[in-house]
Amino acid sequence: MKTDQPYSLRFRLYWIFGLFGLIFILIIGRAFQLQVWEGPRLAGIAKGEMEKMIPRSHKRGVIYDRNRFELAMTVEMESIFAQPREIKNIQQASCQLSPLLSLDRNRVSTLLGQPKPFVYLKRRATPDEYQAVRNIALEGVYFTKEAQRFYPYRDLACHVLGFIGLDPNGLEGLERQYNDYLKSPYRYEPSFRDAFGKTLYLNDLESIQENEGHHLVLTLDKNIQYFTEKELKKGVAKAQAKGGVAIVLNPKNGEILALANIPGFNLNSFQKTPPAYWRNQAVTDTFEPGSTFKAFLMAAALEEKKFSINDMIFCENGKYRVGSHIIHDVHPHGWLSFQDVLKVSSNIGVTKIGKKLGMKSHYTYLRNFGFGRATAIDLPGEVEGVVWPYQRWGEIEASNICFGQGVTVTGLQLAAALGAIANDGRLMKPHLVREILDQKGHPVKEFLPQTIRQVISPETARVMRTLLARVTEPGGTATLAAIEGLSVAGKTGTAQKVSPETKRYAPGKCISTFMGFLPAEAPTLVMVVTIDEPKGSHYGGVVAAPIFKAIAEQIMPILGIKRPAMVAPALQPQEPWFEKPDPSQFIMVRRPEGEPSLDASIGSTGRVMPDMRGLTMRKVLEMMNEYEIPVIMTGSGRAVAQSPSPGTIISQKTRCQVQFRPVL
Amino acid sequence: MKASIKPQPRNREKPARNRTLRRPIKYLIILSAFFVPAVFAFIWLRVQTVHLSYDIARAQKQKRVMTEINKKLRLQLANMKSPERIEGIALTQLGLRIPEKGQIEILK
Repeated sequence: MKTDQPYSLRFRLYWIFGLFGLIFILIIGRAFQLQVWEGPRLAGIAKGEMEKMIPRSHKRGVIYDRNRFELAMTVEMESIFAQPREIKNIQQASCQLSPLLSLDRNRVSTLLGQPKPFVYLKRRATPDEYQAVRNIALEGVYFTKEAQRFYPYRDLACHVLGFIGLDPNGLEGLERQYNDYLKSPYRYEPSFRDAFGKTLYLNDLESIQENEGHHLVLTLDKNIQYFTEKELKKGVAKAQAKGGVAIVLNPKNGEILALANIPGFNLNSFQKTPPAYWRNQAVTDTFEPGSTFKAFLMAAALEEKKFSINDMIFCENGKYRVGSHIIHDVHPHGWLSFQDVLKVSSNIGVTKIGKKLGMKSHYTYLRNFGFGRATAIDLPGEVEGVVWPYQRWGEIEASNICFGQGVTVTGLQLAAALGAIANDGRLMKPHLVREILDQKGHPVKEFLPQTIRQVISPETARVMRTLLARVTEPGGTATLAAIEGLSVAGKTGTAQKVSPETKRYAPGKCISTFMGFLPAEAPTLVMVVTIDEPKGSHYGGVVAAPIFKAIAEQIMPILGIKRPAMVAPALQPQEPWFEKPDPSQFIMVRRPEGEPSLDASIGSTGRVMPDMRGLTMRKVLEMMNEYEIPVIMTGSGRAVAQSPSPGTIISQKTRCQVQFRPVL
Repeated sequence: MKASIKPQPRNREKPARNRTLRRPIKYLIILSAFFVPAVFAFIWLRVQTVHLSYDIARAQKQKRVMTEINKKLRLQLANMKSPERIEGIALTQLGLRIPEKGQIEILK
C-alpha cells in the first residue's frame, strides 16, 4: 500500500496538470484564434458596433479689430426640432409651444402635422426659449446645437465685415472674401460608445482640438470706426442726404483704420434691410470726383516741372471758352498763382495747367495714382472706375477731366491716391486684414505693407502737402475742415450726379466730397468723406469738410496726434490739500543747499526740475511736454515723489520719474 | 544473545519520484510568480484605459461646454465694451464730455 500511495498521488497530479495544461492550451489556442487568426475581422465587427462617425460642428473663426476686440464670432445655439410621428396631441402641443417660441399657433400645428420624420420648430432659439421648451419636456420635441454668427457691435463696420448665410458661407464683405480661411473644414470624426451607449474616448488626443476656422485680425480700429460712423451719420442727417461714405487710412502702410457707409444695417438681422443697403459704396460705387481731382493734376504738373508754385495763371475772370463750350468758375478770378488756383479751386486755372501738361502726361499720372484700375483691396465687388485712354479725349473732355468731370472714381481710390501725396509720393496698396491666425492664435499669414509704385517725387509730394494745407486756411475752400492748433491739408470737391435714366447730369443731385490728411507736414491719417445728394448747400467745403473735422478731432487722440493747447492752462491745483505752487517755480526754483549756482550751471538747453508734488498727471505731462522731456509715471492720483528732485538741473536726456498716489 | 536494536537512521531524503514531481511545480510557481502579476497588470491597465477613456470623454464634453460658456461671456463682454454704450454711459450717467484741445496728453 505504501508504495501505491505516491504512485496514486502522482497519477492524480499528472491528470490534474494534464487537464490544466489542456485547458491552458485551449485558452491560448482560442486567444490566438480571436486575437491573431480572426483578429482583424472581429476587430472590424467590434469597431462597427462601438464606433459611429459623427459630423464635427464647424465653427467659423473670429474676426478681430487691430486691438484684438471681437467684431464677429460664432457661438453654439440650441435649435428645437420635432419628430411629428411621436407627438400624440398636435393641437395641445401647438398651444404649449407657440407662446414659448413666439410663433403663430397655426404655423406650429402645420409643422407638427406634416408627414415628415423631422421638422425644425425654431432654429437658433434664444436661451430663454430653449429653457422654456425644455422645462415642459414635451414628447417628440428635441434639441440640437447649431452654430450662430454674432456681431457684438451690431452695425459697426457692417459693410466691411459682411455676413454669412445659413450654410454657413460668407455672403458679403470680409466674411465672403476670406470664407476659405474663416470656415472650418467639414469633417467627420469617430465617436465610441460602450454597450450602454456611454461615450468613451479612444481617439488620438491630438484630435480633441476644436474644429474652428482661422481668425482674422483687421486693420480697423473699432473706436475709430465708431467715431467715423457716428459723425458721418450726423453729417448725413444734417445735410438731409441720401447717404455717405467715409474712409480713414494710414498713408504710411495703406492700412484702413475705418470704412463707414451710411445707411448701415444690423449685421445680426441683415435680412430685415433691403439688399441695396448691403453694398459697400466705398468700393462698389463710382462718382465723378469733381475738384478733388485738381490736386492730382497739379501734382503731375509740378512733377513734370511745367509750373512752379508761384507761376501766375490768368483765370479769365470766370469764363473761358474751350471749343464750343464755356467753362465757369464759381467765383471769377483774374491772375492767380499756381498755388492759389488750388486754394480757390479755379476750373479755368486747372484747365490751363492741364493744357500745358498735355493729355498723355495727365493720363499717365492719373493711372499711376491708381485711377481707372482696382486698388485690389481685400473686399469683394470692387470696381475700377472710368478713365478713358487719352487718345479718346477731345479738347473739352481733356479740360473736364482737369476738374474731375468725365471720369469716375471710387472713394477708396481717392483715399489711396491722396495717401500717395501724404506718403512722399509712394502709392500704397490699401488693405483691411493685418494677419490670419490659426486656432491657437499663431500667425498663418501676414499682410505686410505693399508699395505699388512711386508716383511723384518726395519733394513734389512735400510741395503738394503745403499747397493742400492752404486750402483749409482762410480764403481757401475748406476752412470748415481746419482744426485749431494743427495744420490740415485737403481738397474739396462737388460733382453732379449722372441720372441712370437720362444719362445726363441730374439737376440738383450732387456728391460733395472732402479729402484731407493731417498733420499736413507729417501726415498720420488720410480721410475721404463723400456725401450723396445733400439738400441745401452742396459744396464739399460746406457739407463734407465739417464731417472730416468732427471725425478727425475725435480720432486724433487714438492715433496719438496731439493738438497743442493754444493757451497754456493755468497751473491751478484743484484740491486744497496741498500747497498752491507758484508758477515761477517752473522756471526758477530755490537752489538746494550745496548745489552749484543755477546761473553758472544752466546752459542754453538746461533747465531746472520743477516741484511736481501735489500735481495731477495731466499737469505733470503738460509741464514736461513744455520742457520736451519724457517722463515715466507710476501709480495714479497726485504726484507724491519725483526724480530728479526739485531744483536739479535737467536736460532733454534726463530720465524723469514721477510717482503718483490716490488722494484719500 | 541480546539483540541490539539500533535505531535506524531516518531517511530524510524524499523518494526520487517526489523530487521529480516537485521540480515542475517549483518551476510552475516561479513562472506563475511572473506571469500572474503580468496578467493582472495587463488587465489593470486595460481597465484603467477604459476608465480613462470615459474620463477623457467626460472632460472633453466639459471642455466643450466651458468653451461655449467662455465664448458667450466674451460675446457679452464685447457687447458691454461697445463704444456706443460706453459713450452713452459717459455722457449721460457720468456727466463726462468729449475732451477739448489741450485736455488730452498722449502717454506712450
